[in-house]
Amino acid sequence: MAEHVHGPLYYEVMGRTGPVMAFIHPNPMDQSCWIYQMAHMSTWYRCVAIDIPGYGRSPKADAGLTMDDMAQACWEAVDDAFPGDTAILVGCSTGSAIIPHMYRLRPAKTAALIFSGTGYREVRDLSPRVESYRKLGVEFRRDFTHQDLSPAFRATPMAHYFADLFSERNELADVETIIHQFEALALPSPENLHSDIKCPAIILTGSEDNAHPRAAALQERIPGCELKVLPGAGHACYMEQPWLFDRFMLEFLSKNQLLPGTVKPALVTV
Amino acid sequence: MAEHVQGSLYYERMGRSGPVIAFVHPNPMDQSCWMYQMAHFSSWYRCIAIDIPGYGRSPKADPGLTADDMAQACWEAIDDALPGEPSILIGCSVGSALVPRMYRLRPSQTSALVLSGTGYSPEKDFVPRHIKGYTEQGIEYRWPFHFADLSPAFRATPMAHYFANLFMERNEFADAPSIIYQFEALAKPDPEGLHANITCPTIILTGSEDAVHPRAAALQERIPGCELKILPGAGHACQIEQPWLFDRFMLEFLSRHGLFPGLPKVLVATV
Repeated sequence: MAEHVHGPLYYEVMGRTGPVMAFIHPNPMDQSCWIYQMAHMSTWYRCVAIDIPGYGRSPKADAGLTMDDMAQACWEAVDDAFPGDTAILVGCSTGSAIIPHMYRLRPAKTAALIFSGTGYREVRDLSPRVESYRKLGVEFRRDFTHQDLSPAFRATPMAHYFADLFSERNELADVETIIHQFEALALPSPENLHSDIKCPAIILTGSEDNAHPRAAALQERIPGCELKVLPGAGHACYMEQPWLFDRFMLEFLSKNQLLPGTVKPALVTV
Repeated sequence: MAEHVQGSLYYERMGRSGPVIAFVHPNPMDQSCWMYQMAHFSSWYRCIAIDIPGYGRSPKADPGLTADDMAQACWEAIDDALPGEPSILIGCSVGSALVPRMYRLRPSQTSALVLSGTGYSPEKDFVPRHIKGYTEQGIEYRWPFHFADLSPAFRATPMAHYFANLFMERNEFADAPSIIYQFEALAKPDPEGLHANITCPTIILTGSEDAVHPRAAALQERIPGCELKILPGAGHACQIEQPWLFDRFMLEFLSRHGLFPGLPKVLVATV
């Protein structure tokens, strides 16, 4: 069992055949933010989407929680859903910070890394979001959800639909755990966290994402890493433009011989 | 095993606690059209979404397939996923034609019906053109048919195309003859009392831009105590176009009938 985490993480699965694909969500959402990719990728993959500690329906975590603890807990969820298989790891934001740690724990079990809503920051201060969570409690999630979105998407009923969906689960969320998670994110990264990555990797980045200007710096640190921009999309770009996100994902997987079977994706040109 | 169906139906599950909700999709989609409701309702319910024969990843059907065969096959999928439990049944279009049949097979196991994309059409005049479409164009007919299920406004969005691609990418597993048998089954006259004998809570959710919308009130009249809510601007597949309103109407309905398990609390968006 992963240290500092009070039990197995909650997850949902979709798909019954093909390679394993695991999705790790951003702050302040939960695994339901991947509904498009879970449904779509289930045509070719066995998908699992995991709630990180403090969010959705996963258990709490203790002070001292580390990135490796969260990475280990995520692997245990993958083990529980699809034991023994290699996995393609997909993250957004915090999820993108966790998946290199998952790679570090099990490089041979990691087939590829797909990063989104992320970039490289030399100095990692404690997120100002911690202060907001302390002040406003878990209710801060709603406001924070909208901060993850582009101004254009933020104004749509769909943005509010997702914000409600996540916030309705607030009773099962835990502010202290979320703060421990931010504290873990502020710790220095292990040396070579990025430069040791040898599996295929790609960064998908929305042009309206605050992390977007730092995406190229992350790309440079990961050998052979690709990068694609989603014009107009925010931090949670896979929710805002699933057609483009999925297309970039499928093209990347196809190029790296990780797209199984005979069913051809109908790649949309947008 | 349900007759005329060559195996167990494919389904997906979401949620780990609460009452059972089963979703039955419309032509020409598959269970993925319920992705919003599956995720959202999994906060309170154990959800299952089923591929009907010929679509998605479910097996083929044989000539002679009946609506009761399909209803029986859907119950068997629920039995497999969540055995022995009463279930709230949600349908759209052909799904709304099947859930009253499911009720008829197991009235005491059905706690409520939510019907969408539907109306009372005793002359079954929608059948011949779809049989013609599938006969002449084969499985490729799904593409234009998909857009016909959507309102003109939604049809123009990248999201409408995203869903179209998602369904069509699974065409290799789909089967045009099975779909034709399904329409032939739908063309048969309804058994007597199919609607009049429904005694569980029922609601119709209908999009104002749905071609069948003008016939929704006639169906409401036939089902004792049936409620009806309109989604302004939404098409036939109103659950995809306006999930915020569809889910709100569903949650209000379930709540009113003591079928909402309580915590966590719903944050109903006022739109």
